[in-house]
Amino acid sequence: MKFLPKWSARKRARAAAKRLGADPSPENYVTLAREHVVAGDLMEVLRVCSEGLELHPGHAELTRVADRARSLQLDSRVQSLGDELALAPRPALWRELCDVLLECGKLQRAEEAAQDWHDASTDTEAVYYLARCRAELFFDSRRAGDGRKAWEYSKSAVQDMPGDTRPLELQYELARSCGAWGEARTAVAKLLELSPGNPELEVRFRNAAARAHGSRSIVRALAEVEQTGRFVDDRPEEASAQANVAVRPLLQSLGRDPEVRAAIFQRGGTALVQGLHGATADRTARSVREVVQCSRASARRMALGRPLEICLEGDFGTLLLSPGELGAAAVWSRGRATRQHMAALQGISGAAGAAAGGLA
Amino acid sequence: MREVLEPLALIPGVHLTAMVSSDGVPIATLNGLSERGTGGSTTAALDADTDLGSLAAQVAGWVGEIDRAVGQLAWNPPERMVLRASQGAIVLQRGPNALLLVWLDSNIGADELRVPMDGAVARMQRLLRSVGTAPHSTGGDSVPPGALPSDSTLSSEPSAVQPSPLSNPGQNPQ
Repeated sequence: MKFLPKWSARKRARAAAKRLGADPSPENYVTLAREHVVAGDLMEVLRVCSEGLELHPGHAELTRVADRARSLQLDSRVQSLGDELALAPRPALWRELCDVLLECGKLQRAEEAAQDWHDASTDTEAVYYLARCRAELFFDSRRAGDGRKAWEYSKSAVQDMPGDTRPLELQYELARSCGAWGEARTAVAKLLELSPGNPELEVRFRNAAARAHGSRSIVRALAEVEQTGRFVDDRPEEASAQANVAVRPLLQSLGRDPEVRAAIFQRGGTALVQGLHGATADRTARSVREVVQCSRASARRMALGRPLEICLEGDFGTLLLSPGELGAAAVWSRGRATRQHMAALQGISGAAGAAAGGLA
Repeated sequence: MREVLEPLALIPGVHLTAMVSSDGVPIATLNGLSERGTGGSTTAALDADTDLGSLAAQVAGWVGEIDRAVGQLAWNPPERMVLRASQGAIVLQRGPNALLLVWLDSNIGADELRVPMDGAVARMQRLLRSVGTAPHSTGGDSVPPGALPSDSTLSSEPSAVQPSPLSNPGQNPQ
């Protein structure tokens, strides 16, 4: 960056920091983070966003800026790793590339990198990374096929890497997440052979052994996860009073937009509807719930992963939905959905998640 | 059909474009042609795990479920549907008796495809119109096209055309 724009960006960042000192609102945090983006200082962007998110958990714009900065930082590392691998490929670089891609959430690219590693060398660790990539895909999309593939790769990795705990940890995590306690117990028993007397592993073993009697096989458990879309330790979708309190003012502010016909937050069997009353509100909430449920199942079947946004447009206007982990927010508007609507929906989902997190 | 889908396939981030009948049968398909689309991870995943027939059926199934869900509110079926997920996104637009499907990267905004998809649907309609009007423009007494392509120089000289015995069923071929 040239001197004059850099000096100007720093000056604006100082002014934004002063405004933030006077009023630590989420908007001022976002402004300061954006000034650091202009100055090209990604570390500062991350620091400001993390500080802001501690004060205002779940704020959509701050989360978005932080995610983007993290993704840019990791992208530049992926680029340099690619260049180094072209020059002198070695296991440490392949390992870091797979780790970085997994951290970015680029699961299919990570799997491709692991496959390239596997094809280019005889390093057995590549199989472990193939297993990890498939397992992450399974945790994200909840497709039984991904889980089965991850399980097969992890079995090969356990055979090829005796003495390494990572494939066994992965096997335990896969089996535990879907409730295949027999397989989970076997994996922890092998881990205990490698690290005898480890108290955390002993607790895991006792827990798995207590539940192993009559538990499902891994194949059946994976199929059940695909069918229900839920892991054994997923929190039940029940609306809590605290979540409703956190969400209601956000729904009201969204409902004040003249373009908005209704704003809805739906969690489990309960829905908060702003803008509609009586039977119409009930029907609309039920339809939103069905749209979210069928979209989750379809996204899983089509290997698209976890749904983030659903948008339906027609002569009725636009129905925009943001399915979150702890409920779904939706807005029915007259015209097209705007970026502000999506940000508001993400804010509602984030606030509900933060309220539930505070409770847990 | 290629001319309908090609402009969409050229957009960066698009992995697959397809036309799917409303009952879930693929009519035409084209993989992404841009640098980012070709050989992309989504296409690889699609080739490995999901064949196009099952994808088309799943898409049509999803559309049917959406139509049923919004039908409870006495709404007409949506014209355009977007499902953005962590590993990719699909954008669907209703065309004449078919769905236009685009599979793209998750981080590409579906709004960027609005105008190109409107254009593709317009091209579909134009294509269907031209197909629908073609028989009327040739006249009622025209000879149906043969199995082999005709030669324009031969067909322009009536003397060069050898009458087939089957062309005049009332005459005796001798």
